[in-house]
Amino acid sequence: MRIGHGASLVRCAVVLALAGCAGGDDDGAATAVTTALDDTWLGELRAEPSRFTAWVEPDREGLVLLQQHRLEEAATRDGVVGLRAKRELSALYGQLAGLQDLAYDAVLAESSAREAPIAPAALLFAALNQHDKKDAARQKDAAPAPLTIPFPEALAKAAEPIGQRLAAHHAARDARDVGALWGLAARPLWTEPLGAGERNLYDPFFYRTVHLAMAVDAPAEGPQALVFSGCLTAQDAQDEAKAALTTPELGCALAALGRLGVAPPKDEDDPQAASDLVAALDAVLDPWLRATLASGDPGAVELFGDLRLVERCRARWLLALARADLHADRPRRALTFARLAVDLSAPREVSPVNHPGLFVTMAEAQARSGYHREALDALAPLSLHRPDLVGLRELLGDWAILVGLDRHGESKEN
Amino acid sequence: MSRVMTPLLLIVLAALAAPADAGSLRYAEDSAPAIVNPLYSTTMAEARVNELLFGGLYADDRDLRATPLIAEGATLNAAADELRVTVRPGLTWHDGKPLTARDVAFTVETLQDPKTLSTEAGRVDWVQSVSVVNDRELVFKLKRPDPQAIEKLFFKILPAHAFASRPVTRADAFRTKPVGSGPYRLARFGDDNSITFAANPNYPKALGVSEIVMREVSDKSYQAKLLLYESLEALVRVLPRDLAVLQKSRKVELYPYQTNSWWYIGFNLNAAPFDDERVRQALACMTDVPSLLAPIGTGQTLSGPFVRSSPYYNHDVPPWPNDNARAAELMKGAGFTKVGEYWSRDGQALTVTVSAHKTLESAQEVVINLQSQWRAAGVKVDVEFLDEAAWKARIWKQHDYDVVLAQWSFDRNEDVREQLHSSGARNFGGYKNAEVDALLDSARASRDPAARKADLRKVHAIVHDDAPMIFLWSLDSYSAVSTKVRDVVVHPFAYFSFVSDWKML
Repeated sequence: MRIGHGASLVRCAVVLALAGCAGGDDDGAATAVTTALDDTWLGELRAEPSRFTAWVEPDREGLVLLQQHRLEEAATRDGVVGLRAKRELSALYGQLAGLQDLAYDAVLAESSAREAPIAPAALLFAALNQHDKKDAARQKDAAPAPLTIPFPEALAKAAEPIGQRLAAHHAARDARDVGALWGLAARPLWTEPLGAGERNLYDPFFYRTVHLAMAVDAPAEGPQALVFSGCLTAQDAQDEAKAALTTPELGCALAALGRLGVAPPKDEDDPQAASDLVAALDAVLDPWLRATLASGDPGAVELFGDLRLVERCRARWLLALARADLHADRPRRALTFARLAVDLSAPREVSPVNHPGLFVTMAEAQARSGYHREALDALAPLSLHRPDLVGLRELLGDWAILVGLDRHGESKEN
Repeated sequence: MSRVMTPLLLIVLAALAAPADAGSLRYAEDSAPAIVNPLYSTTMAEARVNELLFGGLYADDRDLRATPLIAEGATLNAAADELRVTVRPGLTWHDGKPLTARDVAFTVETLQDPKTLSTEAGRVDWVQSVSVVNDRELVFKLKRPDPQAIEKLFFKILPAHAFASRPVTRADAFRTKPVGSGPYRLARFGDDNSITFAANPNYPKALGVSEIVMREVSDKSYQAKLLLYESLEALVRVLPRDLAVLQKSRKVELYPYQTNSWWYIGFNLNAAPFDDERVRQALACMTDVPSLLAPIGTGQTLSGPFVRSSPYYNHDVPPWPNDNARAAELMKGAGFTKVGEYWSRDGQALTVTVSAHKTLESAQEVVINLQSQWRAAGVKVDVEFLDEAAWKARIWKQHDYDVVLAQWSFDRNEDVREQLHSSGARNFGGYKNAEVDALLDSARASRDPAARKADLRKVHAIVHDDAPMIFLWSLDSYSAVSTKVRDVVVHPFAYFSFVSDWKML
């Protein structure tokens, strides 16, 4: 049973020593939730770590890809792994499309408010994005599948390169195959000279195309549907698949929190309420994890120490809560959930604990809280490995520049 | 964290062991502010203290929008060249005297006084004149129409009565007896370089933290331990290597605090041989930047004067390669020959003194490694660590140095004009390039974000080639605050802007 790195004896000893040092003042809480967690796949693995081998055996390689969030590669696989990867890719690019919508609207609004010039080409791209957003929403409301997005002929003929790109998107959404568009999205679709450089505008349809083309309705079933997910039980996973058609934000998080006796906060955009919820959640999870690692079972140490299954679930739940808060227009609380979900042992990397959606979520929460420049920081780790984010990065950059346009810049040493 | 404490840690803990009063928040700085006067603040530690003590006419609200603070409001005339500001009624200074429009006018005129020599003078360079109408009203005449002039009213207001006259010099007694109108007033300076701030009883809003204590903990490696042992409630900047440990503690929350900061090696371009760009480029090629960075934490290496997430960063410009063969070609081109181990010209071996601020986090490690790298490449290297007074005098004022290792932090505008323009107040290295000056001027004047990006990306490319600095890296930067402190929101630059919302359990 090995996924990723194996556990060395030294590392096990260190983990156990740390667990011992950490003290056991919350062990009562651990006992209280033992039953709840015993009924989940985490509890099953704690009781019998060897089950993990059987669960992952049908597609070990695919699950490694999922564990590492190598979603494009995982999406090419058959079966449960492929379904899960496509669903995650669709959600990720849906978030990117939403952030792009927000940024396009904000750049237009800020430009207007600050009497900043808007280039005709930039206006055209914003209009194209707006049209695509509305069209996709209409299509989603009408019928979830098949997904066919008609592009208006008038816009398609507006300019040859844009027309060709529109046609390519149309085909990709019909065929549910993004294909060559992955590479094209990283290059400007429109370039014009501008002062010391040039104005580059990027494909406004790409994120939505990936979102639509990768959408899947079929539920993933069996243990492989649960491993590395944020769902604690098969029932939760089935409920999530149904919910994904309407309100995908929460996923299995609410069900999981309910099982652990952690109540979600009230409907106020209060960051402290998010901190308090996370503290309550950690008070439940930490003792359980400590006890598991202290059990001395090498299999359990490998699963819960090295693969960090509990931390991964925790991060997924917090990410789901953040998404739900963004959906409900509570960006400050969303930002707190996202901030507390980041694994700071590798804060600027997509990692088994740091889901790619976490960085998009944090960027959106920052931007919607007024922290526009910081949104670029939040998105940076994802940009490293996704060249197609260049268009969104440029757009967010324009937004950040516009809101600071009239301020006196400040700099200091250290 | 290990439970075996070193003797040094025990000593530090003992020194800080006095329990905090209920409602007292103790935070650590690497270095205590050298001056408490917004006219002369040049470091982030000073900027943070200013945020506690002083207010501006306007300030950021929680969504970082301009909102009136000392001002009750401001209105522009139709031509957008006259701004009428009304001061909020009933405001007082920490000494109880009323805050009036005259204080605002005094501040503007002091900043503009050429004899004041304030590094912050640029904050009011848009003002033609200011006239007081009455205690609560004043009028700014603008040099040119500006429909968004309100966005420029963030400079800190000073009490006219606290100064005997203008100009206000850096040595003015105000630096040790500051009087402000901010949420906290200075209570005392401690013998250990600490500063205690008490809640301002006249502040218009009730404060949830009764006292704030700035403690100087110059050995940064101990700061995280002090926080975990509850001898501090906040660390402004956490060393990257301490992040994971602090995250595991449930007594601490971590907040991103990036401040768009970058490290650099800066040359004195007024001193030979650093006036020759080939020498600067050669030294850049002798520098293995990732190896300098690795021991001090995680971050991103840079090729220009912006952090990588900046909209102005030019991703087409790679950092200088660590390439000793190329360095040798450049040194030969500059007239140097290898004599024995060292590059020499006119019979003199190239000798460089690297100066660093004593309290720049991890600077000693970096400087020692840099010394080793450059020595191996044929350059004699001396190192020196300067305290704040020597740094200000030698580097900023007298320009008496070869090379500095230092760090700049920027607010969200990332305006590098002061560092790179030939007339920039922070351009102590003496860099001059007419094309860069023109691009910086053009960028500042431009209202099209794409045009501003184009200008500044070009600046990035030129400055990289000119190499007045070797751009090193930006570090992953977080602040850590005890969970005993609630409702914490950290301002992305000034840190304490929202401290009046913070509460202690």
